[in-house]
Amino acid sequence: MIGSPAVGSLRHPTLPDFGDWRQATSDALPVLALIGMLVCTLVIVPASRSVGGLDLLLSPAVPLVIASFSQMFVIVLGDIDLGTGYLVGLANVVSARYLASSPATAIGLFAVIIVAYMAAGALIQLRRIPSIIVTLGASFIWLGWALVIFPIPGGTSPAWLSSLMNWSPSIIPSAVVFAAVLCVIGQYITHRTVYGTLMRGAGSNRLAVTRFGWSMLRIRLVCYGLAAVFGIVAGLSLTGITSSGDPNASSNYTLLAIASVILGGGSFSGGRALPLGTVMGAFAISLVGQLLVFLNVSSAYQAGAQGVILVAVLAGRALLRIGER
Amino acid sequence: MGDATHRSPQRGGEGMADSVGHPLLRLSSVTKRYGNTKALAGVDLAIGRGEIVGIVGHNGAGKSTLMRVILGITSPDAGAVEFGTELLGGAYSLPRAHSLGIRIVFQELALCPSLRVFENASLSRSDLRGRRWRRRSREVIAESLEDVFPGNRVSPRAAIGQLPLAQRQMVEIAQAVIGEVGEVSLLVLDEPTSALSKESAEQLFNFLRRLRSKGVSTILISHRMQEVLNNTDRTIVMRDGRVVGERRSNETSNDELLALMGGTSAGTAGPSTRRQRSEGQPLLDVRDLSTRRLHGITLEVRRGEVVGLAGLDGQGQHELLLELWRARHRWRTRAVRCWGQMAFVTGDRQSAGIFPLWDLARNASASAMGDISSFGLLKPAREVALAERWIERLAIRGRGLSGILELSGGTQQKVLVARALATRADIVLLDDPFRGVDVATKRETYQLIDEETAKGRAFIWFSTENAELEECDRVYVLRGGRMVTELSGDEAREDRVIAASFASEASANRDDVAALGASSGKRIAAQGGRS
Repeated sequence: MIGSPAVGSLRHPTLPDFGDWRQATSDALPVLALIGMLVCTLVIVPASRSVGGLDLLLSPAVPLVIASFSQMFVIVLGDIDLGTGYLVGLANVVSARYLASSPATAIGLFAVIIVAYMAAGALIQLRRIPSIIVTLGASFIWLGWALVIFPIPGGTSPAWLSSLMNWSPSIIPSAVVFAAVLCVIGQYITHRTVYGTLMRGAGSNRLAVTRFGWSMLRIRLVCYGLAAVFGIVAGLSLTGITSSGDPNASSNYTLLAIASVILGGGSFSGGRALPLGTVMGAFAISLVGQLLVFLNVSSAYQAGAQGVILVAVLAGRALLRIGER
Repeated sequence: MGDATHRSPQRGGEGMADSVGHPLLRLSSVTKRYGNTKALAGVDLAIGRGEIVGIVGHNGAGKSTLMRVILGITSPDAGAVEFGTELLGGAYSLPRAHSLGIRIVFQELALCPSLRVFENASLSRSDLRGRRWRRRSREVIAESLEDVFPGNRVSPRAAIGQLPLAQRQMVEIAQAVIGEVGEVSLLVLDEPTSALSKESAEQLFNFLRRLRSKGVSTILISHRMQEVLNNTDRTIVMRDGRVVGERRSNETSNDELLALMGGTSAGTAGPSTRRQRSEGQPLLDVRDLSTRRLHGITLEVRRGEVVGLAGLDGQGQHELLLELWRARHRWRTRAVRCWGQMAFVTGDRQSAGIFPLWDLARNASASAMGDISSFGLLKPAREVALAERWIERLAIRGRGLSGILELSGGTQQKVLVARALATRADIVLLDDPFRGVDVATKRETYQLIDEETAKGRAFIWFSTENAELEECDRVYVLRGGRMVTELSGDEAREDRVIAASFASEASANRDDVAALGASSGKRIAAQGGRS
C-alpha cells in the first residue's frame, strides 16, 4: 500500500471518497434499507401508492428523524444518550401543556432543559463519568418531570404547530420536505461550521483536538446543547402530530434513534456525523414498525420482529467493518 | 544568513552564543523523574538559530521525555528552559510553545481519521476559521504540501482515515509547517521518515535545508543513523537520560555514535551464572513465521532456556509474543509448533494486567483457577495457600488481603509474574514487564527466573532495557519485524544489542514501513497467522 502514493488524488474532486467496495456498501446501506422498506410497503399496501398515502406513511416518522439528529450529536463524540426518548416526551408534554396557553413558560422550560442537558455534558466531561450512566440517570428526571406535568396524556397543540405538521402539499409528501430541510441544516452544522468539524474530529482523535488548543468541555457543551435542541424540536413535532402530550409516547425513541444513527453510517466509537444517512436510517426503521402492522403481525411480536430486523441490518454493517484495518 | 548561522556547534551551548547573542533554545541541567526512573538526569542542550540537530539514542535514553519538556507537555523537576533570552518557567505549556513557534510532528498524533485533510488543517490553526474557511484551508494545506513534498498527489479533500500511512505522514508534516517563515521557529520531527518513501524523505530534508537558510531550526529524532549523519549539522547522543556526546555530523561516523550510545561500556557486571542450557527438550518451534508485521521469524526454545527479544522498541517484538501466545491453543500450525502450556506477563499492568478491585492473593492466583478449584468451585484454602507461597517466594511486601492498588508499581509487577508462575505453564512470555521497575525488584525477579529455569521452565523475554538481556541465554535482535541478529552466550551484551539495533540500516527501510503500519494501527490483527 505504501508503494502507491497516488490513491488520494485520482478521485474526482467533487465526488465523495469511496475508498473501496466495503466503504461504498457501507455508505449505501441506509439507502438500500430505506428503498427496501419502501418497496415492501408499496407492494403490500396499495393505498400508499400516492402522494397522500406516502404522506400518511412517512409523517409519523418525522419526530423519530429529528430525535435521531439529537442522538447523532451525542454519538459523534463517541458518547451515547439513553435519555433521548424521555427528553422528547418531556418536550412533548411541556409544549402540549403550556405552548398554547402561555408560550413564555414553555420557552423558559425549554431553555431550562437545554441548560440541564449541557450540564449533563459538563458532568460527563469534568467527572469522566461514562455518558451512558449520566444520560440514563437523567432520563428518569425527564420522565418524572413529564409525569408531574401530565400524569395521564392530555393537553393540546397550538394551531400553528398542528397545521404545520399536518400540512400536506399535493405534489410531494410533507415528510420529505421536512427531512430535506433537516438534512440541509444538519449538513451545514456538521460539515460547514468549524464546530461541526471539531465535533467529528474530537470523536475520532480527542488528543489531537486538545493538542490544537480546543477545549473538550466546550465541545461537549455544544454537542449536548444541540442534542437538547433537536430533542425539543422532536417533541414539538410529536405534539403537532398527536395534538396531545404523553410522557410515554416516545419512550422507544431512544433505542430507535441510536439504531437510526448507526444504520445511517454513524459509529459508536465516534467521529462520524452523517445527517443524510441518519434521516434515511430513521425513515427505514420507522417503516419497519409500520410494515409489521400492515402485515398483521400480532402486536406482541412487533417489538421482537423490529429488533430482529435491526440486529440483522446492524450486523451487516458490523460485518462490513470487520475487514477494515 | 544561512552560511553564518550553523558555524559553531561546540559543546554544551557556550559555543552557540554567536553573533545573534543567544541560542534559540537552551536547556540547563534539566531533570525529570518518573517514579523510580530518572528519565532525564541533567540535560544540557542548546539549539542555535537555523540549525538542524539530530538526536539519537537507544530505548530509554530520554529522547521523548526531552521533547515533551521542550514542547511544554511535561514540566521538568529541576533545571531551566530558555527560549531566546526568555526563561520559560512554571507557566510554560503546550499553547505557549505553539505561540513561540515550536512545532512538533509526532507519529499519527495530530490527525483525526474521520476528517478530510483540509478539515483537520483548519482545526489545527486559529486563522483557518470564519468566512470561507473550507476554501482557505484547502488552499493553505495544498500549498504547504506542495512546498514540502513537491509533486505529491495528496488531495486536500481526501479522508485521512483512507490515506496510506506515507501520505498521512506527509499531511502531518505539512500541517505542522503551515506558515513556516516568521511563524515557525523550531520544528521537532520524531521519526518522520519511518513511513516515508526514499524520495519523500529526500524532499523533506531539502525542505529542512530551505528552512535552515531562513533561520528556522530543526530537531530530528531518528533511529536511522545514516540519515541523521547526512542531513544534520550536529548530532547529539543521549543515553540514560543524559547527553553523552555531541559531534558535528560531517565529522563523525556511525561507529563513533554507536560507541557513544553504549557500545563501549560493556556490561562487565553481568551475572556469572550463564549456562549453556540448550540440551533440554524443545518446547516451542517457530519456522518462518510471517504476518503483516513479522517476516520470516525462526526460533526454537528448549526447556530451561531464557530467550531474549531485543532491539529498538516497536520493531515487532510485542507482536511476536502475541503471535506465539495466540498459537498456544492451535497446537500445531504451519509456522508455530508448541509442546506445553504458556503464560503471559504483560508490561502494561494498568490496562492489561492487574484487577484493581481484587486483593493481592486473588490477583496472584487469577491464572491458576484450575488448580485452586474443584468441580468449578474455588477452594478458598487452596487459594490462600497458593498466594502465600508466592508472596513468600517473591518477597512481596504486602499481605494476601492487601488491595492491589496499595502496592508499589514494582510490587504489582511482581504479582503479575507470580500469577504466571503459579500456573503450570512451561513457557512464560514476558512482554517487557520490568520497564521502570526498581533495581531491587528486578534482582529478585531475575533470581526467581533463574530458579524456575532450573526446574525446566522456559522464558521468552522481550525487554527494552538492554542490561536486562544479559540474563538471557540467547538474544534475538529484531528490526522491522525481522530477526537481524542472534546473540548467544557471552555475546548477549548490551553493546552488541545496541550495535545490532542500528545495523543494516540501508536494507531495513522498507521493513520499518511495515512495522510502523502495524504499530500505528493499534488493533491487533487476529488473522495474521494464517498467511
